[in-house]
Amino acid sequence: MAPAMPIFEEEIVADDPPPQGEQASEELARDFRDRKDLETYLHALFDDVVGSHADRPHQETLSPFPGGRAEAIDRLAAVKPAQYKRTRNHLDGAVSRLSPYIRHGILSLSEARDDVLERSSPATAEKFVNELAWRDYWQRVYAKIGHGVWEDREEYKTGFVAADYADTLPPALVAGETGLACMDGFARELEETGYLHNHARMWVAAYVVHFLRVKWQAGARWFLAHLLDGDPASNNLSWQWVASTFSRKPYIWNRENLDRNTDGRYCAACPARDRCPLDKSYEALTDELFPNRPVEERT
Amino acid sequence: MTTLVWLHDDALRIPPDLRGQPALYVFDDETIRARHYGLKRIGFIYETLLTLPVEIRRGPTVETVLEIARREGAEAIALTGTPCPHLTATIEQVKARYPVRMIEPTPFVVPHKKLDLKRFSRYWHKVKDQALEPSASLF
Ligand SMILES: Cc1cc2nc3c(=O)[nH]c(=O)nc-3n(C[C@H](O)[C@H](O)[C@H](O)COP(=O)(O)OP(=O)(O)OC[C@H]3O[C@@H](n4cnc5c(N)ncnc54)[C@H](O)[C@@H]3O)c2cc1C
Repeated sequence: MAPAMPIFEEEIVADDPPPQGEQASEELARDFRDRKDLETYLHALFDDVVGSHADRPHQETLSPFPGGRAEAIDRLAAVKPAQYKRTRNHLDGAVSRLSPYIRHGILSLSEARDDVLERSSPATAEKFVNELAWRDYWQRVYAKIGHGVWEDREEYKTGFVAADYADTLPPALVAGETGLACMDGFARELEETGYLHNHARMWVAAYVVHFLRVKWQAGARWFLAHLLDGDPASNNLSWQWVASTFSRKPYIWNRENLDRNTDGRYCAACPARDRCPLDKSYEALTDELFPNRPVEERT
Repeated sequence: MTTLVWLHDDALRIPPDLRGQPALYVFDDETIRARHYGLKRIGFIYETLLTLPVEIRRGPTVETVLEIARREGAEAIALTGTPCPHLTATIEQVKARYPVRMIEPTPFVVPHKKLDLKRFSRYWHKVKDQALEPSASLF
C-alpha cells in the first residue's frame, strides 16, 4: 500500500509553474484491438503510477467506468428522477454514476439538468438538480479560493483545534485491514473501482476525521489518488463539510444508519459486530467524540 | 481559419462549433505525478479520447501545445475555461506566446445578483428557480 501521501499540486502555491523540460513530445497510439490491448499499452507507458503492475500486480487496471460520451448519454437517459429522490441515500439506490463524466467535462451540468427536466416535472426533478447544484456550488467556491481548498475554511466545530488531529491516515485503514467490514469494504472498493457511493464517502470521511481524529486533508489526498471523479473542489470541500471546517456542525453517523442504508451487508458478517464502536445513539456518540463541545451545542 | 482545440482534464470534449478542427490532448508526466493520477484515471481519460478525433501526445504541456499549434498553422488555440489554479497558470503561459480563445459551456445558472457562497443553502436559495428551468444548453 502507498505510504504517506505526497502533496498535491494544488497544495503548492507557486509563483512560477514548474520548469518545462526540453524534452520533445511524442504521439501516442489510437488503434487498439480491445480494452485489454489498451490496458497493456498503458502499463508499458505509465509504469510508475498508482495501479501500475509494479504497484498492484494482481489488479484490474481499467475501471468499470468505460470512457466516452456515449456511455454518459446512456447513463443520463437511465436516470429516473422520482426513484432517485426516494432511494439515493441507499447504497443500492438509483444514483446516476455520472460523476467521472461530469468531472471531466464529458457531460455538462446544464445538459444533465435539461435532460431530466424534459422527462419530469420540476418538483420531481428537484432532488437530482439540487445534487448537480452542489457541484456548481463547489466549482464557484474553487474559482474564488483556488489553492485555499486545501486550507481549513473555518475552525472545526468539534471542540478541538486543527493541531489535535493527526497528519496521516493509519496504514490499516488504507490497506482495508481495520477489522470493520464497512470501512475495509469501502477502502477496497475505492481502490478497485475508482468510485464510492456518496453515503459511503460520507461514512468514511466522518470515520477518518471524527473517530480516528485525523486531519481531513489526509483523507482528501487518499480519495483524490483513487477516485475517477476526484476533483479538488468537490472532494476537499465535501471533506471540509464533514469535518465542520465548512459547515455549522460535524457530520457523524452510527451503525443503525449504515446498516439500514446497506441492507445489513457489512454489519452481518463484520468481525467487530459484537463490539462495533458505532453501535450507539447519536447523543452517546456526540458526547464521546466531542467531549469539549459546549453541552448546549452537542445535540 | 484553423483553430487548435486543446482538450484538458476539465473538458474532454470538442465544442460543437469547433468540430472538424484539429484537436489535441497532452499527457504530461509532471501533471500526472502532481495529481497522483493512477492508471485507472489515465485509462478513463484515454478511453474517452479514443472516442474523439483528437491527437494524443505525451510531453510537457506548454511546449507541446505550442508545437502542434504551429505545425497546424493555427490562428488560435481554443479551450474551455477551468477554475483549477494550476491549469489556469499553464493557460497563462500559453497565452503569453500564442493567441488563445476561451470557450464556456452553457452555465448551470446565471445568477442575477452576487452570490453568497458561505453556505450551499444560501446559494441554492438564490439559484433554485433558475436551476429548475431548462437552459437549452448547447454543450
Ligand atoms: C468525502 C466526499 C468526497 C467527495 N469527492 C468527490 C469528488 O472528488 N468528485 C465528485 O464529483 N464528487 C465528490 N463527492 C460528491 C458525491 O459523493 C459524488 O459526486 C457522487 O457520489 C457521485 O455519484 P453519482 O454520479 O452517482 O451521483 P448522483 O447522486 O447521481 O448525482 C449526480 C451528479 O451530481 C453531482 N453531485 C452529486 N452529489 C454531489 C455532491 N455532494 N457534491 C458535488 N457534486 C455532487 C455529481 O456530478 C454527480 O455525478 C464527494 C463527497 C464526499 C462526501
